[in-house]
Amino acid sequence: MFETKLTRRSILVAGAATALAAPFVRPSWAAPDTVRALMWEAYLLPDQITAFEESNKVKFVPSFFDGNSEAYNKLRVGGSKEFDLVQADGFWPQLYFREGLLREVDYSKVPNSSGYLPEFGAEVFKVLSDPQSGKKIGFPFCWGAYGITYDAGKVQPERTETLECMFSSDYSGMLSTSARFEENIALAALLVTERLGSRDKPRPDGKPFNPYVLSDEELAEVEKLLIQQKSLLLTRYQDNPTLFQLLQSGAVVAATEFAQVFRQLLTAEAQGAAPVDFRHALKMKEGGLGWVDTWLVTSGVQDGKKFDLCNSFIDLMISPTVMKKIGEVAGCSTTVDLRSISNETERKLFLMDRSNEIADLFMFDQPSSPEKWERVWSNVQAA
Amino acid sequence: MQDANLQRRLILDIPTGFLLLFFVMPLAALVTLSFWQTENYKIVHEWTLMNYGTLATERAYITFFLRSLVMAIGVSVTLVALSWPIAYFIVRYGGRYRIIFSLLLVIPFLSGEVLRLIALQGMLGPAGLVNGALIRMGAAPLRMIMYSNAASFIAFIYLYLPLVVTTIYLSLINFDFRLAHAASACGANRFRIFTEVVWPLNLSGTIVGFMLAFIPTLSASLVPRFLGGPNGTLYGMSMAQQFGESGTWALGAAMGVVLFLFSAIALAILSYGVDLRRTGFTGLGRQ
Amino acid sequence: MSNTSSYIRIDKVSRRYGAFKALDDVSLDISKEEFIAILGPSGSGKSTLLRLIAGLDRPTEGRIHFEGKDVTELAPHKRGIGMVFQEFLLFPHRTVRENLAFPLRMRNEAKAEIEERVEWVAGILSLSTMLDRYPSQLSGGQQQRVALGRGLVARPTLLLLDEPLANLDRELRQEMEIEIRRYQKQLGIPFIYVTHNQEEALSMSDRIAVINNGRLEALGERQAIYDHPQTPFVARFVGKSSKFQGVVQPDGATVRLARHDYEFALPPDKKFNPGDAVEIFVKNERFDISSKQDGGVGIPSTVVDVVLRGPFLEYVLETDRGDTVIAVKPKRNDPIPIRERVLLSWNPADCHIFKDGADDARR
Repeated sequence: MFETKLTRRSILVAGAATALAAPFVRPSWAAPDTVRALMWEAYLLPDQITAFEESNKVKFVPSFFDGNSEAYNKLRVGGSKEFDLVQADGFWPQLYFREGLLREVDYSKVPNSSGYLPEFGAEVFKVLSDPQSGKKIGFPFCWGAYGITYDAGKVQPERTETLECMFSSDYSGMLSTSARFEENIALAALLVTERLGSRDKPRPDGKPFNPYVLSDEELAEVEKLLIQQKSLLLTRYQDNPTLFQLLQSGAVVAATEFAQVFRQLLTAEAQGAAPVDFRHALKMKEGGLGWVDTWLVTSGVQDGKKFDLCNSFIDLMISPTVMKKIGEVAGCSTTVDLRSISNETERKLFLMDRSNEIADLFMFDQPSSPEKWERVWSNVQAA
Repeated sequence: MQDANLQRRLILDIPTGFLLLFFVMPLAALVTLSFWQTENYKIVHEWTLMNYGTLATERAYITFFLRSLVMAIGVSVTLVALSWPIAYFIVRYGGRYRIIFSLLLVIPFLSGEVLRLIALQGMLGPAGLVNGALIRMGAAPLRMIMYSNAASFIAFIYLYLPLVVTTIYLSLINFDFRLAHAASACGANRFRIFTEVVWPLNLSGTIVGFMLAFIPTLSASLVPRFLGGPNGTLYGMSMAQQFGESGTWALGAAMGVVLFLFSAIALAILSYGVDLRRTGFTGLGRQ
Repeated sequence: MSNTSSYIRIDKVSRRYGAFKALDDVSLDISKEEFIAILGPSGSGKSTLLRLIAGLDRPTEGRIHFEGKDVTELAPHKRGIGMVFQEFLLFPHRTVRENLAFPLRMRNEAKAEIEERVEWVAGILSLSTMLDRYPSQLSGGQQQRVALGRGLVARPTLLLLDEPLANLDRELRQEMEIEIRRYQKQLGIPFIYVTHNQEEALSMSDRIAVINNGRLEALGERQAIYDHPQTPFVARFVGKSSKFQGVVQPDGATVRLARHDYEFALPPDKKFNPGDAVEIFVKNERFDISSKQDGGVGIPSTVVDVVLRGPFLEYVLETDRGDTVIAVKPKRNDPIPIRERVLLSWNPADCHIFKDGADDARR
């Protein structure tokens, strides 16, 4: 999933196009016999879509986005009338719901929702409930983290128990992080807040600690930390193939990533590449970042035929067979329990037995102030 | 009469409409946006000069701009210096293979810029052609060409060399080399033939080549993204981030306006600062 | 001319391009203050010879000397020559003044000297009023004068002119012919003037070198070249003439035309064997036209047209065998009327007779 996302995001300045087009775009009103989805391209399985179209006699019209903020913007510009289904991860669904872009969903109308891993069940997975009303606002789909993939031969496994290893001069020139500014800042914030001991103090938003909500003081420290880190980095990788190459060639010994490259490395090894003891640390002692992709229904969908279509589409997407295929194609872990239809390697590879760790991860979220975060990021880049 | 009118309107209106639709309107939208603000992915429709103030005072953006400017000047000057001998050689000694040489120059354009960049990333990276070989030989890899401004520089040269060579080639192929003979007969040595006749008479073409490298380098975002490394963020890359990642579109729009104005001014200085007559330009083609 | 007295000496010069001989063993001595024309059809090698003298090209064999000094390997800019090109080749990005000053600047002359020389050359070429214009703002004749000025301004050892008038209209050309010759006499340096136009060669030069197929076909005073061509090529190429085929009669003293009923006595200096096939060239102005009633001898012809050319009349005649011949006569008040039957003849001393195939034999 993120493989596509990162490359495409680098290439298309999609947000720019959207923002610039905003004054000129007119909504195209939905035809009744279509289901329109705003989704990650990596999750599109043409065979399943065709089957869905034929059995329901509808046309499925997908639109794609490359980042949460872009999706958010598209949804806001078009209004919820432009799309029926939409995907988002982390805390973004809650934001969408608050803004009236989503409608409440009904788990009873999606039979396959009973197959979720315990952590993602309707009652347990609170990220997809509106905090005020407690209404369910979407269905979990794939999950992942932003952990550290490392070469255990060069980095002691115990060193990866803390985020400090990503800021250690012991690995100068052999570290890499992704180019995503939100996660770089949030991850550094975990370390900074731990050092400052500011997590338990009153937070700027009055809520429990969230690495995406930072005080100016914390941001300033994060900036300093990231500037220090810069000299230790070989590069901030733009796409997974690059990171794959960097790790495999030994140029990089530790990198933060979505565990996809980790999987690719293990797969490559299974297929005959030179054995290197690559490992993935999901959560460090300061905490870790995670994300759960979801399927959401827009507020433009009324009860009735359209809602039923949406439900049956989601039901198809989270059915074990489709889920497994998506996991393989997109390289992500799934929220549906597939252990009964998976072998040992797959269980290890897709972290099927570690899904309980998601509960302890900080979910991807919107930065408390994109403007302030952007400034921090620019300062880091310019330093 | 009616027909002529219609024809004239078509001839005028279609390009005008095209320009309006694809150039003026986006630019107007960009300018408008640059005077607004963003807050949490929302556009605040209040007129303000704050974005420009930020660009003028924040060290980060000034750094990006200066980096880009130095890069663009360095790249363009190097390209002109490299392209001249290449183009000159093709024109003077290419003979009947000239057309093949000039077609060879076009081949890289057949693949996309991203593809070429990824290829180059492979070449310059730690497992690439250069460093891979060095490592295999037991030598230390060249840190300088891995994810650095030097790597970006090499990439720009690689990307735009064909463009600049082609431009200078086209200029030289239309240059009447008998003028060089005339200068020689007038007592000019090789050096002075070049400085007094060949160079000035191909200056317009050279400037076009310079600008064709300068402007895209100044605004480049992909090259620094893929190859620049942690310290290689250039202005265009930062601008793209405003739109693509951080959702600070208004600031990005202001960056775009600044870039547009700067490029326009650079173009104006270069094209009006150069007396076209002094480059043999008569407006009538070659005489 | 001996090696020491000749100002420019071209010594057995050849230039080959692969198997093709552009210039084949050409020797030429040019004295100071001489105006020499190199005349030849296009592709004859005359421009190659000029380029060799200028140094824009190197001979495959042979040497070139300027004032006794071997310049064969010398670069053009070290030869101290001036050159005027057919296409003018003025520097389009420079004003007239700058074009004129160019050769002086290349010689690193002092500023004052440059100004003085430019004024001087602009004066003699009447360019003073247009010094600050660009070449594209000048007429063809003006550009030509600037090109000439640029060639002359730096006191060259010699001036090479490569068909400099070819791009001018006729009237201007005749004016310039006189001008150029005047400058040459005024400056006292050799002018080497390459042209395919025999009229230009004849009107301007002291001597003419005729080049054909890379070889020096004839070299001599212009009058001699015109009046006494030594080869059929020269006879045909220099001046306007008509050619007849003939056979030397058994007596060895008369020639009878092959296609016409006309006989004339061989001039005493021409020796042919009886039965030899010969080519006879008669310059257009050397024909005699007599009226048929006078009972003279000649080629029976009819006047088909009369063209007035200033002080001359050009009679277009058609022989009874259907050939067209042009005869030029001074203008008279009572020209022979059109359709008049006439007899065409010539003074045997005025025609040029060569053995048939003499041109081919030389090759």
